[in-house]
Amino acid sequence: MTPDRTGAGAVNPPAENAFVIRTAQLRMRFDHGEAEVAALRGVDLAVRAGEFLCVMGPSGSGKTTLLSILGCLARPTDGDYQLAGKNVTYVDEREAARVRRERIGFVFQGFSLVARSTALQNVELPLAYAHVSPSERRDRALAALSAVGLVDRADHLPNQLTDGQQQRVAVARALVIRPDVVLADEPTANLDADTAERLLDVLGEVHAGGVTIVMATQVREVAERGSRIVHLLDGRIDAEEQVAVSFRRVAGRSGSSTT
Amino acid sequence: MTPEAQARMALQALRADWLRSVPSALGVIIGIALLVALSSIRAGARAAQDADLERLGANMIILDGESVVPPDSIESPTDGTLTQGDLDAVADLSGVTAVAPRQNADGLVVSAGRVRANPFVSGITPLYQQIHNYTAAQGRLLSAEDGRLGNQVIVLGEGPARRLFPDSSPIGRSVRVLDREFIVVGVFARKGNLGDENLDNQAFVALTVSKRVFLGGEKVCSASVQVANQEIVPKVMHAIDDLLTERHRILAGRGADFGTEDQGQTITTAKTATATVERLTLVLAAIALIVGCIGIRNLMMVSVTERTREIGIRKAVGAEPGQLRAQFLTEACALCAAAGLLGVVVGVGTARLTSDLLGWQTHTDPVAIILVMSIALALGVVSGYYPARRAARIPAAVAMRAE
Repeated sequence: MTPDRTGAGAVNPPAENAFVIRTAQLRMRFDHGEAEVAALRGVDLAVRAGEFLCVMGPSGSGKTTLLSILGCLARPTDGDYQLAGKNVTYVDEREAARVRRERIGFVFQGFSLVARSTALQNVELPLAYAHVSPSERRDRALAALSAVGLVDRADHLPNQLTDGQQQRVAVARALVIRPDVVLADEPTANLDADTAERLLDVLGEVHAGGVTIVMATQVREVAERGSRIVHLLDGRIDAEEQVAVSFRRVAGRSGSSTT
Repeated sequence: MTPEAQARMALQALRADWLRSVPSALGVIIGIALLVALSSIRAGARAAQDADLERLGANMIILDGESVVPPDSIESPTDGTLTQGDLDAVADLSGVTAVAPRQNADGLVVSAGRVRANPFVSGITPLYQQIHNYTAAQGRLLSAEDGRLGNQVIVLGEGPARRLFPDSSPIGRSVRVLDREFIVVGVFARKGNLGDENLDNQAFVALTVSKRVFLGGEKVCSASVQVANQEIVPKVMHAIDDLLTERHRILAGRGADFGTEDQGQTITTAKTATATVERLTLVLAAIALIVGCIGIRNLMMVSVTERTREIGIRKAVGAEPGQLRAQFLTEACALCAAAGLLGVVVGVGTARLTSDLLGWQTHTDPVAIILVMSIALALGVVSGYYPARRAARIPAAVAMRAE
């Protein structure tokens, strides 16, 4: 699974300062009857191609809202968002669906799969909505499943898979479209420590393969898997830090893969 | 997403939920079953009716000169009131193609040795046999010569023939009617019933013979009037009424001594009785279908609510609102089609059972099946429309919400 789309068709690896994500003064307000809640209060974020950015913050800090906007699942109240150089801030619903199925992979907090469909069908789903032919769909989905080590579970239903396996299928589904960016919203929140570790290893491998990842988490150790951490507090970026290379355990505990 | 993949997905959802789907779709199943059963029974009745008309003679008015006896008259009900002049005048009316008199002689015993039968004996002409489509099963029917020569020959229906001659052929044998001997020359082919009258319990002699031997007099009590087509039957009946009122000098306000009856009407009287039942069944079917429609709509609404997260995920991975709408519409249609198929099976079964138990003729028309399946699919669209719209409107952001 080589991400060859980040550079929009470029033969060479993306330039050092090619931004996959650029936001300017993103604001999001929700009306809850009388109370108006400001979930985001002006977020400026820039993510370079190939980066593994972690968004840290307590619950209610706006992580999920930020990822929703980055994933074109919600429109900001105000601000500007460019995905791979294209302004997608206020695209209509159909266009947003197109952007999602062509450029963005999602890994959610849990129960990310369609319950009645097999692992393979789940991974095929974005391709099906993109009208990819059945045979190509199958080939690409199987390739994505083998990238997360689950090709032998292709015909299993989600309830026949462990939570960790389900999340890995979700990763495969995110990768199958060769996205510009993978957005993961607390992907390990519902997993036990070992399983979480395994999933983070998989994400590390994906990142090592060149895929840009933005992951939200509340846990410091999880966030340290990334290359950079931004701290979100009350809808604003509170602090930012580079993760020292020594912290990054990209290849995971097994140490089987090289960067 | 291809329509075929869409349908497969819909069936997958249906299979997962069938225990819940069946009760919700029960209305559709029952409604469709009622429609199929109704149409089968109705088509059968129409076929039977057509066969009756074919068998008994089409476009026929029965002119009755015996049934009505004026209250202060000394005539007995068996005396006819129709003269040859009346019949000739009727024959001259426009639209009339044939007039065949018939003289009934009730209550006569026909015997062969010690065996007796009590058929309905009538004096008729060959024309009568012809326009009522009588054919000979054995021997021959009455001929013009029998009438002209006054041959004492008789044609039996299947009933008296079997009763009088259970073990042998009746042809050439003699039977006794009153104190006269008749030679059996034929047995006419099975006729069945007209209304509640068993047409096979009859015996025919030549009209001239019956006048001379049984009743005397020149008037007859009945005649069959054949007209060009069924549409003009009421008009001709009216003309006959006017003509005979005039000829019989019936005063205004006094009862007439004749009557007219549309034989087709007699055949369809049983049907008019069922028309009420038919209408009731249609209303029931409509109610069942509406209830089923609401049931499926509610089921789909619950399903959409339960699958909010699934819908969110589908949207997140790139489903357009239209694709989701199509998915849920397809599900509703698949559910309705499945219910419709089940209804067709139940309906055909009901129709079969009806023919077996009640002896009614039924006929299941493939066109009717296609029609009810179209109705079922249309119901799917109707019941799925709102849930599908709702599914398509669920915001994609719900995918991010933790369960």
